Amino acid sequence: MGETTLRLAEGYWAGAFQAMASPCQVLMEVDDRRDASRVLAAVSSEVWRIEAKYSRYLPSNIVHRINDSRGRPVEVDGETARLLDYAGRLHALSAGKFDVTSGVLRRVWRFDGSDRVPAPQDVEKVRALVGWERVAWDGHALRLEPGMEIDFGGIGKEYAADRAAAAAAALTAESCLVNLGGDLLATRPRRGDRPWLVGIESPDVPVPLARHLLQLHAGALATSGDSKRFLLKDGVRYGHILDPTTGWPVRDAPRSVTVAAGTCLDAGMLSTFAMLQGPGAETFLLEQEVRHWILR
Amino acid sequence: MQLGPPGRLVSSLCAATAALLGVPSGPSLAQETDTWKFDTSLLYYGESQRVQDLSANLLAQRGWRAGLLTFRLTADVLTGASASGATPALFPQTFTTPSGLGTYHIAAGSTPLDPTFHDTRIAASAGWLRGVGKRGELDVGLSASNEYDYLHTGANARYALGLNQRNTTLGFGFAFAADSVSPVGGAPVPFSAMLPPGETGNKEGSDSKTVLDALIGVTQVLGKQTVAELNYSYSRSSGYLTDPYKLLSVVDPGTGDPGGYLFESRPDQRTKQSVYAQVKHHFGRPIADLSYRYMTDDWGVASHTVEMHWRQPLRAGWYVQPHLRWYTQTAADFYTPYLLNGAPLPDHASADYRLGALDDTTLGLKVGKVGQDGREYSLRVEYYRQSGRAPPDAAFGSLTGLDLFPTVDAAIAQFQVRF
Repeated sequence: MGETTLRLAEGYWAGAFQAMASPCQVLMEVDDRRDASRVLAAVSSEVWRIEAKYSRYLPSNIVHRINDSRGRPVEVDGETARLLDYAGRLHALSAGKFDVTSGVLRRVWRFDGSDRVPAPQDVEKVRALVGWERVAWDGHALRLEPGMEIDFGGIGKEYAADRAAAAAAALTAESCLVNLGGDLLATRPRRGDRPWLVGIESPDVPVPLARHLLQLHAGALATSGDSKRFLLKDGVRYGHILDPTTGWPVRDAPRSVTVAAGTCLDAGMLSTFAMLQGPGAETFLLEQEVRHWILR
Repeated sequence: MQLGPPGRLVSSLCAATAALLGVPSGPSLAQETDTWKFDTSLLYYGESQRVQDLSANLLAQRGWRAGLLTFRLTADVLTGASASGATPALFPQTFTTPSGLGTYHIAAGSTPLDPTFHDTRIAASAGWLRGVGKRGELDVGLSASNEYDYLHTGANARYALGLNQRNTTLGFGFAFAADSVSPVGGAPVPFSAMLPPGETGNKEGSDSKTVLDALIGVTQVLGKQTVAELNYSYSRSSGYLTDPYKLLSVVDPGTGDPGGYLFESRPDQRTKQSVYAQVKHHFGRPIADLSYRYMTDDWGVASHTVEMHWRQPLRAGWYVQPHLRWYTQTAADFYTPYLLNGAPLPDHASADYRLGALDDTTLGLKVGKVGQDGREYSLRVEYYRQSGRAPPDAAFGSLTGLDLFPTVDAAIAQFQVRF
């Protein structure tokens, strides 16, 4: 378990903790310090629980057992089964562009700002290990072909934000804002119907000069894209969004896509899907009829 | 392999997420606020053969942590003719213009319309909305408008209190207005005769009125898809409530021919009460609202209004919104289409068709598109028809073949941009 801090801000309590390699925040419009610390404890422990269970960096969790199964089937618990079902739906909805088995591509792609673009034959070698359609999943047990891996990195933070916000809403009828490194959710409108003010980080300017300042009354905002993770070779910028159907970065993807939706998962998946559309990101989001902000 | 765009998948995605989280997804209420929000529109209202009004509207709004500031500005240009209240006749009629300086002529058989009607109006208001205490919010505002013959100043306040985890909202509102009227050519003495051009013995300077409004209401959330609202309002006007430009024909009790014209006279008090109910329901993506208003006042006017909107979202941010409105009112006690020569004068009388029994119907359609980053463009066109209902036995003698209650048709067009 990590550490949390709590302080009184202008009309609300602000809790903070570190999880999933991101700074996390809970803003709570409760009056009492005890109420605030109960909500903060519930939110942070739920986020840490999900991190411990699904991080691919931690040993002996369910993800590790699956990835270490060497072709044998692995029985999973109910929560993991629901996440795997969800991953299957996302794979179908995105026509294969969202794939929880695509994490192996990072063995050859390291987006560290350098010019080390991998050789096509190396990309092809790991791409042969990607493909949800080759996973045997019957709703209870999962069997991966040897060498394949799964990774909930694409949905874990959004799932944690939705679960943590539900935990906060179960403890207080007042408005809470859960922010896990930019994926955020307000449980309900604030008193007097005032919004939470949220800045979207722009690739070019620091946060205080955020390109967009948003009012969030209720619901979620999630952002995909990271201006610092890229490769640059021969004047070509390789963004960090990989297309599992090719093994290569999506060409002409926006630098950041922010989507507003009812849940963080919906917002996060729509922004990820939009990134995967590359030059078609704008058209894709217009078609979905969701509020969105694209930075190119 | 290049796949085409995946098309609309947001509903399937939300269903999958709801299955994972075990709860349906709530609404997303996010909007951009780094700058002012604007809502601008250009509105045309035109009655066939009568008044034409072109109005430009601007709303500017900005939210801060402390509250929400709203400014409204409207500029109106009105031209055209408006019914003077006099009856048509079998022979041509000549009237003195309201300024008392000229005349206008009305052909035999035609409804007397005063063609000198034109005005420019500028209206401005400002409002400040802020949270009060744990569950309340207070909205206060000031307003003013100025036209050639009229000056309005007003102040208003509204307090809303959220109860029951904000599923119930109680609202209390007050508004006060002090208006002054400086009619063109002066305010005529009630029931004085229309005089020939150049004679101004029956005209006085300006006058004034005050209006006090109070409202109490409750808004109730009924489940995830439905919101209902119920209001009661009370309005009391005192002072100069007469229309200085309206006439009454004094007709011969035998032939029905007009023999002269008097200026109208209305009571100097009016108390209105009304009850308003509205239900708004989300049918999945489409939203419908249905409302009903009953109004009654101590002038004897009672009205019913039924109104409905249906907003139907289409693909890629487009939507269509049909609108239906139906209105009916009874006549004021002192409403009369004319006075009879030789009969004793009543305390008050007006032939203004807007105080007579009437029905009107509005049919409209709005088409709009919400673009990327919330910019919205819309065009609304509406058709409006008003038909007066004649009191029984109103027509006699020469009035029998004349149209005492001509139907008024109007067209409304509005182009709106929000950004």
